[in-house]
Amino acid sequence: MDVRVWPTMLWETFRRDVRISLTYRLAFVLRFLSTLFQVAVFYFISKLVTGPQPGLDHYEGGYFAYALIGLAFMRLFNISLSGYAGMLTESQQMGTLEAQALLPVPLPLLIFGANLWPYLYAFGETLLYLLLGLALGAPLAGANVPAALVVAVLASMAISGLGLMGAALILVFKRGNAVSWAVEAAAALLAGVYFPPQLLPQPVQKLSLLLPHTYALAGLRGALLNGDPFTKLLPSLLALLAFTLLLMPLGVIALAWALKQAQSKGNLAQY
Amino acid sequence: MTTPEPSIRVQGLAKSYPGNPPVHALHPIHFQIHAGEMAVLLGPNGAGKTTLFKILATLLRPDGGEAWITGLPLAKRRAVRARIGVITDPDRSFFWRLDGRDNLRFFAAGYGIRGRTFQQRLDELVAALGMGEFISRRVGSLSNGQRGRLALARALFHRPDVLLLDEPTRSLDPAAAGDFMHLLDTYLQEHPQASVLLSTHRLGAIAAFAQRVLILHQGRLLADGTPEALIAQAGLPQPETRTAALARLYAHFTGTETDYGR
Repeated sequence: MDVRVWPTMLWETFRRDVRISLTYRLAFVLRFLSTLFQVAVFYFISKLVTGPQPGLDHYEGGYFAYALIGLAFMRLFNISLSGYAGMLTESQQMGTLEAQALLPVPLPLLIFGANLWPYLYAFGETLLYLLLGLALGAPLAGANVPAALVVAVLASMAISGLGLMGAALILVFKRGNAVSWAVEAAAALLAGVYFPPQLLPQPVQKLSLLLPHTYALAGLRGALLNGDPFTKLLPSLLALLAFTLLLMPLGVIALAWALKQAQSKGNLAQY
Repeated sequence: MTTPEPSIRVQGLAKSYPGNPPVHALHPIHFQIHAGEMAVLLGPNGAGKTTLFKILATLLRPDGGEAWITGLPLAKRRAVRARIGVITDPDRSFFWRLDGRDNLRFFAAGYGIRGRTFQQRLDELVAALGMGEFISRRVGSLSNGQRGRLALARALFHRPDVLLLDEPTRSLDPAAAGDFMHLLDTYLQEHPQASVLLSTHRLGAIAAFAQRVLILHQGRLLADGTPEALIAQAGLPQPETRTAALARLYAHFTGTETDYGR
């Protein structure tokens, strides 16, 4: 089958997911409210964090701006981490996975396509966080937006490698996206989402260097809060590139292997 | 002059599932289905029918043997998928929050069918399958019979050469099952290059249309031929109706009864 069909298929997958989302209108309102409340909660928590703090002094804006960037981008990164496995689990449970696997397009294309709407939605939420933050005084006016976009795209690709491995595990073990759970929890603790890694004990701090999230959030804070130029962001960008080059091929290989296993065992649609 | 490739050629296909002991779902089997044929695969639960369908649909890899769809080996998975239309689970294989039209639009896109061609084929199928009253309704609100027709529309949308239908009449009432078989028969008449391999336990619905009967039992293909020829070969008395003939063959080869009357 012609690869020229692929863009159409991606578009139709995106369109399908938008239309399904639109049938759950209350969910939009609840997500908006949850974002609003979360920003407000961290705004008031930031009132407790006064004076110089280790790790916070690298960035403009104090604790509120620091936490805002962590919150805003973790939703986007979690799509990379959990979206692929989520699509498989949902399709298995709904019974649509085999019907999609019967199409003359590669199943990984459909898995990727099913993440397009969640990415766009999460990107919208990220913008909402940033706008709310701006309204509450976060110093985003001098942000280097192009640099932030490059960091976000590279980070999404690096984390997608882990997400594809999680999807492979779903196909093999059926339940429990262990990779997503472990990485999400580790990132929340180690990568500087809610507090600077410098607050952690020294040996634990070193573990944070093993997560792409750490470099992503450092780069994003530099670009958005300090307006750092590309040259200053180079260490973060190079680390994210290295993670991408390592994790993406591993993720693709793991998913291809798991699909082959599922087709041999005949349990592709089982959950 | 060259002989045309069979629509389905199966040569020694075998499949076991791991376990202690392993389950031999298919012992090496051989058969061919030719263009224009409607072949019915009969066998009790666990006979290996679904395993065979899944292998032919490229959803499951065989342990041994090979099969070809219109001359293409199963290893050419995407090319094979473009030539087959499949029904496996009509009740649960749609996006229930979308209407019938949007579901068909999504699946048609996988075959490169869109725009005016999509609309034209949709109009044809809506008319042929009587889907006008429900094509714009959410699939979740449709009856089993309506979902069955939608599943047939999806299987026919890209005008496949081979239809692989695993118990497509399972959730249809007898009248709807009869209509379903008439629609398949019409498709075969309008597309003489096409063929159908269908499994069912509902002999009444398919008796008039079954040109070939294959009986699978415990992973072995025990019979393959026209109902009349198989009755004669087995030395059974010729029954009065085709439904009775199929039921008699089924009982003779599998040692079990089936859903005779419907």
